[in-house]
Amino acid sequence: MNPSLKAIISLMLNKKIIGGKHIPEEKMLKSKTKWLQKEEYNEFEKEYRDTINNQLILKIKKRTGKGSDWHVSLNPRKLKELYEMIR
Amino acid sequence: MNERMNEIGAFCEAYGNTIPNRILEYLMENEDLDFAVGDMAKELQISKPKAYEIIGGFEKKGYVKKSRIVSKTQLYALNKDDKRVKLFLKDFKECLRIVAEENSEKALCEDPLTYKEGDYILARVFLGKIDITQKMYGGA
Repeated sequence: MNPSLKAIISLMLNKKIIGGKHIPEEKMLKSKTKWLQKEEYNEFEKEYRDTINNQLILKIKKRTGKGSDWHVSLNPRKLKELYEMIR
Repeated sequence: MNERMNEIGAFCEAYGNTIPNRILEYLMENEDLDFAVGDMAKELQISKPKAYEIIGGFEKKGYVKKSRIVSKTQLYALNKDDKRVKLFLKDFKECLRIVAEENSEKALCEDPLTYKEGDYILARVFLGKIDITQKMYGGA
């Protein structure tokens, strides 16, 4: 599993960002992929997209002060799968 | 984001919300990922000198090691070979397991054979005027 994706899931699970609790996607991705090389980032992006397509991570558009941002949270129905992924 | 990122994690909830514990938690979240001390300090909302002081101490203890230098920035990574780090990781994973178990929704009763009293009943079954729902699902 990609180390950045593992770090994202670990952080979200540790901080209990599950279901209705969400955080901005952009800032989260920036903090965990800052030091990745281009190839590593492409690999990460592919795995991250798969995780969202499999609905393990939920992506929702949320209204913010200046417009709207994509926010992410863990799917409460798939927590066990997510835990198995990072174990 | 910073407010959310700065919330107490499951690990610090269990072992105490101190700065070294918060740094240790951050290290374990980024288990296979290297990081810059400045970024870590910003994310955890602690001062850079304090962060460098604690990381220096962790380096001496063998919890972290220098990984690579990218454009004059020294990156560090968790030393997974250290015995104590292995122990911390085990505890951290256990904390995550507890969070996953506590927050996962109860599976709905999909199979009628596993029906128990107190579960949701989607439809009641009548034979004439007699309610046989309980009998059909093996209840009393």
